[in-house]
Amino acid sequence: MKRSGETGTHAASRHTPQANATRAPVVALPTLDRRFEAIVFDWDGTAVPDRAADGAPVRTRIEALSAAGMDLVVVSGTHVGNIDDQLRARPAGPGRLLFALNRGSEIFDVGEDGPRLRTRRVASSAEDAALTRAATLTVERLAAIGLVAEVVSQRLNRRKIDLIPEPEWTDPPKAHIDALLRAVQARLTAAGIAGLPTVVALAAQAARDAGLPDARVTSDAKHVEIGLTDKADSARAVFVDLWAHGIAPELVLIAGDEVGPLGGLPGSDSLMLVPEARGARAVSVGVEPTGVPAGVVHLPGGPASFAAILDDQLRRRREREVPTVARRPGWYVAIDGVDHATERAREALLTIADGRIGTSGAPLLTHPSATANTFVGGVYDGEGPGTHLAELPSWDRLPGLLTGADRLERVLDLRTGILAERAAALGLASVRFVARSAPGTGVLRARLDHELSEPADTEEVDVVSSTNGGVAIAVGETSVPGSASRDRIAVYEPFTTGDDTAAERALARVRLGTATGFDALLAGQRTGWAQRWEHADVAIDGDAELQLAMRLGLFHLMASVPDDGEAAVGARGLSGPGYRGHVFWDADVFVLPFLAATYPEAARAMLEYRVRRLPAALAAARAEGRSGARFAWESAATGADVTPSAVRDLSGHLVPIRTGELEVHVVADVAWAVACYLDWTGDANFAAGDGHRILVETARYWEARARHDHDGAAHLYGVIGPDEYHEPVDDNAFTNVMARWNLRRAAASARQHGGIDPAEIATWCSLADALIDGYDPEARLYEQFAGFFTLEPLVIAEVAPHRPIVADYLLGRERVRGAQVVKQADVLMLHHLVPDETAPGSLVPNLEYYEPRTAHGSSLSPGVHASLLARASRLEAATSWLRIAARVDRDDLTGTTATGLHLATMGSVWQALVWGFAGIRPAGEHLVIDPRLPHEWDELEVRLRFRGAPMRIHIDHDYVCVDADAPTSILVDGNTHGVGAEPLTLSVEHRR
Amino acid sequence: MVTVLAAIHDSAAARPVLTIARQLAQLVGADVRALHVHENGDGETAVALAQSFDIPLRLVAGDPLMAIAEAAGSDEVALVVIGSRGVAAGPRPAGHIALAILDTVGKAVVVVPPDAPGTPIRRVLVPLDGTGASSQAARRLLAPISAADEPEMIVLYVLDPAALPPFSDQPGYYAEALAREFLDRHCPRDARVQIEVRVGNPATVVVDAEHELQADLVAVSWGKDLSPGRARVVRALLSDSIVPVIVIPRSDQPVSDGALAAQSS
Repeated sequence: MKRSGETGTHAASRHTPQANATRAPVVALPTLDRRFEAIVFDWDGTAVPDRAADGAPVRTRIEALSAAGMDLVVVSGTHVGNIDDQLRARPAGPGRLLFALNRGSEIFDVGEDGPRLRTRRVASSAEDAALTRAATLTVERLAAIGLVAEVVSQRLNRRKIDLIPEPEWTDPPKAHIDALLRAVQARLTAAGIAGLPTVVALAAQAARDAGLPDARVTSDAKHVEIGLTDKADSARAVFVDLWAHGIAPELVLIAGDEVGPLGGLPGSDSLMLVPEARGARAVSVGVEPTGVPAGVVHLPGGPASFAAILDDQLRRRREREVPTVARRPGWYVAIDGVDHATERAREALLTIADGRIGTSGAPLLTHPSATANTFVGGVYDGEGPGTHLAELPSWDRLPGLLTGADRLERVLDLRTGILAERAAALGLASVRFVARSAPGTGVLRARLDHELSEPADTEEVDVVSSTNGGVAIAVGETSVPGSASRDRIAVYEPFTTGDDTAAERALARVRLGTATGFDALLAGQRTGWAQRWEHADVAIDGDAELQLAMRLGLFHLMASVPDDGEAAVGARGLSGPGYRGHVFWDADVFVLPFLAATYPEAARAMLEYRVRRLPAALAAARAEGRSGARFAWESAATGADVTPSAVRDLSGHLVPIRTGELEVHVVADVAWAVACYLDWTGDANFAAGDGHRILVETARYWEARARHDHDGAAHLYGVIGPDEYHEPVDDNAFTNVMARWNLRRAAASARQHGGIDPAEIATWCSLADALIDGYDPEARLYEQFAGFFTLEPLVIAEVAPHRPIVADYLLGRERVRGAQVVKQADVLMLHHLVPDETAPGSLVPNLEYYEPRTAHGSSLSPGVHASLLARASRLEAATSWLRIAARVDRDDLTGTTATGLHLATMGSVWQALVWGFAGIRPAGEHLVIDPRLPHEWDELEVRLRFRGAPMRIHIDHDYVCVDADAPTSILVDGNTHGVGAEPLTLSVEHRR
Repeated sequence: MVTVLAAIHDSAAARPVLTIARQLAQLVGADVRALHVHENGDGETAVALAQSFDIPLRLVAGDPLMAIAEAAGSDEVALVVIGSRGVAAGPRPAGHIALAILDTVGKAVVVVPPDAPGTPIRRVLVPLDGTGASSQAARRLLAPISAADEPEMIVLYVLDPAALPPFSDQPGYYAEALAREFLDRHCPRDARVQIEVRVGNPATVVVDAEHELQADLVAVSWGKDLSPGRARVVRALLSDSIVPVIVIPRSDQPVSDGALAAQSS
């Protein structure tokens, strides 16, 4: 690889901090000594002293914080007019401003055009009448025991009762809460009522008697309120919203002035401390006459203290403080220190990527055990079998050496794709990510105290040449005076030979990123990733370790594939140089299904890679003297086969490799990927266009490849199936049945879309019927290939010291070749991929026969078996294999994770959970749900998109609950059910 | 000054010992000194050979094992070179004396067969089992010499069948990936090292590989444990190797990666 570059430094204009907002008193904030990403705060008494106060000081601060990327949420019982008239904030972002108002019944998004209603809880007429009845009953019952109270307002979804309707207490300021409490208590005592809790209990009983069993009853001392919602509902909705934008509670500050108990009741702001907020920091700026609950910070001073908090947060952002990442259980991977033996595997696990670029999680400073990798998707170097992903300089390097004494700590937040790195001894703090909102862009903020000079503003462009093109790498860095922090934006712009504008484009994109700013890119990163998870997560309640391993896998599957264009997804994605970045059937069969079911745009990009290699596939078939499309077993930039013809195995022997020549099932695998995408999405354009072309051309290949014997039976001679221990073989069941499926699917597509001679369609159908599949109806077994049953009857499960195991090293290649020892699921792959093409009732006998004969010497095997064992209700064995599959990279079971992650294995884990345990598969317009839940799991929740409808499928031992954002149809126990606006719950208790 | 101590017998077997000692001293930048422990006779052959190599010789009387151990104990001595069966006469089987010296000396010892070719050391075979202990010892040796143009270093990764990996996926790429990571884990960064992987009984595989790969020197570590069933590779090499074998005792001291990088750069 050649590198040529031009380097320059320019004096970019430094960021000028905006003029400070109105100065607030200096308040020591030792316990809030960090940057928060969102503040959720009460209005009256917290942000402003009262409704008459000038809202300008808080408005200035809120707009400045929003511009600096912070989300702000006002939580109040009042209505939007009251808040907006006083605040009048019109933030432009990137931070968001939300109003959660009317005591939990409304949420507004506030932008440059003012508040816009997002959701409102609308009471039914019956609920409305019940509220009025409850308020009337409360007033009557209080009167009966001698307390005069009045219903003072009928607000949205609630009724407010004044307990002290006396002129001097008409509108008491929050600062006089002590005096108010004493006055109310005196009135209650005079009526023989012990205190406010008694009144609240009385009102709650009145609500129940009025037909509101779940009414929210609260008191601010002067009033008691009966409502359908309260501040807790606001807080729940807000924290769900923040989570959906990638902001975990650990990054949120809750501020109020009534967090501690009041008059024997919980403070009104304590209602914001809902379970969904667990992990958030809470602060009270109120008087809090009886103190604050444990864990809540008390900074009395009212709105002045709150203003000081906002100013402190603003200062941190202007000084470019490095944000923290959340350590949410089940959502992060933390690596402490650098261990020489495991470092490179850990770096692969910490890879950050967006399908365009991928960068390993090597320490930012140089360390002798580390390997900093950056790859660009689809950019290869070399020729023929030597073609490999181009190895490029990494954009995230910092000057200096890291030693063992520096106490390095790295945390990858899977929810947001942000990698944080700290080394206390060096004063290093950093976050970096590959930006979701700016494809192919790396973003770094780092503070490094040991540097001798402050970071400067620089721009640099480097051009790296590779075969048929290369990559222009532009890096821009900015800083602010007096700060050791730097913001770095790096863009990798691929180019093909003859394109001499890549450097210019890369630099322009860097400048755009710099203008957008770190905080906006960070907000986009959080939101972008969180939105991916909203439609892709699988939650397992009952196995925390499996949960994390599975999420780690899903994270890397999502990170490895771009959203558009074409996606060459190599066997190790962009996480390492392993397998030279070549594209195998792994991509079509193991990676694509997860994306088709969760983010079809990415699956479509993977198919686009195949579509654009169709000419190469047609040429490859022609070179064989055949028609149709012969996709390459190993493919890279051009689509020509790049499989090596010979390799050295572990024993150092030169082994001829025939997979490129004979592992032709890849042709049907590509067609299957097309069908998988169509089944999940119903994409009519693709079905009629490029998808149809692939189905037709692959069918034509099988037509040309098959040979008929004198009895009319059709055969595929000289192939290699997924079990690569045996080669070449005739009539491999997997290859033949996949070809049969391919022919039939192409025929169906041709009938639907036309343009194909009916005689050709008829030929495909008759060939499909004639293809030998090796099935013995009596034994209900498929013979893996012609003659398999005559091989040495060796059951590897009985002779191997452990499984999985590399059987050809245990027993020798020749012994394995002559024995019934299978490398990975072969016949059983049919039950996994095309169950409808297999004989009914054949899963269990084939599972019982082949599984003990399988060494599982491929990392693809455990996940497939976990899936099929789950379908067969053998849940203990299924979970056992699933855990092995989930550990492949996490525990580096292969010893090669350092050279990249096993993406296909990660895909197989999702398949086991969704296809196997949840039993979810498309069936035409319906989505089949047929769960098998292990007893040790309490619940399984699967999020996906079917035919454009985002869905959440919740499964426990008794019920299946389906919640869809658009009307859809599900099939459970053979019955069709429509899912509409309301979630649908079905009992599966009878399956116990 | 770092010294290579060549303990020689009063016979022609001293010639390959002195040859190897000189070559190794050149590789590590050390002086060579010779030692002959005479029980009978005057050590005439030893003296003549030492003179012909222009290597200072010290003659001492007494028990060879004790005398060599005492001389090797000097801080200056980094490496001891002995003949595999020329150190002391006696009824014990070949290699046994060498093992006793290895056990006693506590430093790297090169055992030279009497018929070892006196050709220059161009290829060194370093068998490793993938454990940290074995690689640490080997890295101590590899660090100073693997950056040079010669000799060629070949790391032999021996996989015991009982500890076979669970997966191999595509065998060629798997071997490539495993080798790459093995070198990263067990060899100094940027070292000029090739790797060969073999599966089988380590004692057999190492000796076979020595012949197959035409190594001029084998470097192996050991845990200084001569109990039955232990040190099988060392025993096999001392018994069957036709080239010198450097045996490096494992140390409890961890090898600093930073230090290694500095040494090998």
